[in-house]
Amino acid sequence: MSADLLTPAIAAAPGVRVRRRPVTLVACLAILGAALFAVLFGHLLFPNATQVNVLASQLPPGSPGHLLGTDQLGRDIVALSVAGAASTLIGPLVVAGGSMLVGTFFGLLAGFRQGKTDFLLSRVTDLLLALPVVLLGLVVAGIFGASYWWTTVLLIVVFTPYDIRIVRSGVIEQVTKPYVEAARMLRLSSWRIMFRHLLVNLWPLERTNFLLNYANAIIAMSALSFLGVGVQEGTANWGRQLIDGEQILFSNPAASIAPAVLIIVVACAVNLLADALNADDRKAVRP
Amino acid sequence: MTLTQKAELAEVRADSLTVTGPAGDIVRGLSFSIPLGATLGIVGESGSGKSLTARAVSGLLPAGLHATGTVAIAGTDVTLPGSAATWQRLRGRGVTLLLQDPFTSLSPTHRCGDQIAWTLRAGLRAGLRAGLRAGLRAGLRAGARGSVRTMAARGTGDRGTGRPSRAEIRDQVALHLEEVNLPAAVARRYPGELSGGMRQRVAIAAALAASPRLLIADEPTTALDASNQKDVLDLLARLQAEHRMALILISHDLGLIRGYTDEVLVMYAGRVVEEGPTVVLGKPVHPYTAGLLASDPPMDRRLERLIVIPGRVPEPGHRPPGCAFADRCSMASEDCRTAEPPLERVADGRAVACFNSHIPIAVPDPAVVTERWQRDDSPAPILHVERLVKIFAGRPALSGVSIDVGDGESVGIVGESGSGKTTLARCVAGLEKHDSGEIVFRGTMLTSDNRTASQIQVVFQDPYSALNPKMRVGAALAEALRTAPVNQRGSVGDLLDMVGLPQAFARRYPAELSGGERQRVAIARSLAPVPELLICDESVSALDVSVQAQILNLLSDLRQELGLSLMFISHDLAVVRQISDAIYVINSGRVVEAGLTRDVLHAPAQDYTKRLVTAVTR
Repeated sequence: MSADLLTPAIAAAPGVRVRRRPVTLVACLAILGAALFAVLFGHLLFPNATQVNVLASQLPPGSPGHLLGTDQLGRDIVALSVAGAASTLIGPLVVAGGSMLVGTFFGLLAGFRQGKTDFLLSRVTDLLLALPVVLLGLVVAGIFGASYWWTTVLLIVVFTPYDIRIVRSGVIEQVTKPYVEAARMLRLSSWRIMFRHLLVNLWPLERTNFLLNYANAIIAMSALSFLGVGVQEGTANWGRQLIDGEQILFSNPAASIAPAVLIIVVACAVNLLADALNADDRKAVRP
Repeated sequence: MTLTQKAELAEVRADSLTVTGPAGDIVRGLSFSIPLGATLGIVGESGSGKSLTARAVSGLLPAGLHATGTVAIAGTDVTLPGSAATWQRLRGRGVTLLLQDPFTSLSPTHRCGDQIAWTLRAGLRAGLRAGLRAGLRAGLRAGARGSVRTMAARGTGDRGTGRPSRAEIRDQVALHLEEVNLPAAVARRYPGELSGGMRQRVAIAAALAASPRLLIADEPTTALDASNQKDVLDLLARLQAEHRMALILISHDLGLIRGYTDEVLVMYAGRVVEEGPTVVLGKPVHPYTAGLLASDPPMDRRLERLIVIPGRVPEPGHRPPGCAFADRCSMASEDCRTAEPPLERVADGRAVACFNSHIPIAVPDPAVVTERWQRDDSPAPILHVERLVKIFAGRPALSGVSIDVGDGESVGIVGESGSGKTTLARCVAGLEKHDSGEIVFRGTMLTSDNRTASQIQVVFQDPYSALNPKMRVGAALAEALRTAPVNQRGSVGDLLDMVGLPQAFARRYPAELSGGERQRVAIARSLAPVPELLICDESVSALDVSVQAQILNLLSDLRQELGLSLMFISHDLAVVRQISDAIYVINSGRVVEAGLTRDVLHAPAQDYTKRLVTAVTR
């Protein structure tokens, strides 16, 4: 009863929330907005970003017309970084989205059905979790060639088991609640209970997990690109820039530092956004 | 020290306590004083502000709420909200809050002994600081006379006694457990291994470990069985006398705590509407107090209709001008709706905030039902359960339970928590699979695949988790209606009407409803498939007494209108008396006594039933 008492006070004013650090949220949204802009319009801003210009190779930072200098192929680091946003950020989005969809489906199934279905799905999950990502990436690249979309599919496969586990545990927590039992009493179909009742109540979990996965996927894809598995040589991509920049680390360190900083900043922004949304959720929930 | 100072040290006081939230005042201008050794009861429905009062007085308001006013606890004055350091010093030795739910107020991953030891150590540390300060002061005085050595000696002396050894702590914990009638071995147990009553005792032991001057018990017995309720209240009363502390007992049930308080303060919508010595409040002057007292169901007779306070407590920010209770009051006049009645002292130390306090309250005397019901011995009851057995992890929860529910009959299943009554309900409902025995419904044996929604429905205990929080009331009811046989399918409007809710509620989310309203929606949903048997699993025990009476009346109306059969599971005998024709008393998974409700409750044959009957405090 004491807990119920607090409801009216908070329910009556849903708009009034005490935001302690809106600065973080605004900064994250600004960074992600800029990243989105680069993804959408980067190729229009710098249509010649990947064009080789040996005459201007390995210019140091601060050279006229090249703020961060150029790499060994004479490509401007700023232009390359802006143009590289698309290939660096779209793939991970597909990875996070894809693993969320597949993970949610099987997670719901395992958590709700339990018994044999759960056992089977959980063992497959365990098996997938045991696979070493990098090795798998190299093998896949060996078989299908180093393709961007094959890497994306590979990462979906690698990320999905975590999603299955998280969704499954969320479902198991919800499934004993009376509102689910009431739905069972009404003899509603399993699908309806899973997708109409459980899924909406898993949304905060799904959203947070999606964002965390996205940040992880950016790093994983960049890492695979660094190993030469993700994207083709010559493509504008932050991970690719890291591997190319390594060779000229001393003549133009900006060629490595710029993409590295970009990866870190975007991944952090996504993580902090997930945190901020979560904190808001906790406040909105009645005490 | 003057006399008045002495008096102040010997009491706990709050002056013009106000709690403000985003939507406006939640508690307004509350004042009280309790001498050490006395008990103040704070009574009111959910939403009246009683729990927030408790939290404001212990410095534990949730974020977003702000308190003003002053609190004086045994000589320490705090101007609210008070700094974190002030409360840190005061909590434990000054004031302790005992919470309602012993299942969540103790840490599940720490042993009970450790949790008592925490408060013990915190109390000792606070004592040490106080001792050091006293030592320093004494030392300074001595220093003025030229002796610095005294100061040093005092300081170290206190520090020496302030750090007890492990063994000393263990002995102390054992003493504190003994005080609440628990064996010392409980110290090594985890809360999950104890029953609800035992957990609440551990919580009490932990609360008292630092010897507070003021203990605030917020609904300390609401989560407990009747037999445990009485024990815990008796225990609190005894410990209060022994420790000579002030006790604030908060409850929605005036009848329950009446015997344990010296003064009572009745709150409604954040204000005190009536206060005075407990004996005086036995004859209420404010209609709200009268309503609270009258809605408590009696155990010795069955009433035609329970007396209710219609409507619900208005939310902060939505309180009407004038008297906040006017909309629910049968005596309200025009004045009540325009001006707010001030809290005025009347005779016998009573204060009341009502313009009509001079008019005596006519408490309606509800008609008593003569229970003529005879059990239907016809060969085809609607539900026949035969030797049902259910085993959980090797432990039998039901060991051969047989019951019958006749057509149109209301059958009560009573017993303490852990007796197996809820397991029985869940097996009958099909939410658990029984291990052996038969469940026969209208002549057909029920298995897990041949059930339909229109046979049996359940109304659960907790109205807060029984509705999908992300689904509007209308959508939830519409979904349930689709499971009804086509020719009997009603509309969402009909359902809302049936449970006494306005049509506009279809567009609301559960979070926008009060507990009682949610339970009405849950009942409406369970009625949508037109079931023949309704199982109420403790359906009213999470509700305020006033709301409980409303829901009980609703259930008996629905029974008559729809010819429903009812299986009513409850630990509250007075509630069962009001709703059930026949009862089964269950203990340790077995039926120990069965018969007509009237007969069993008037003349229980078994010791277990006798114990349940005598444990009822009202």
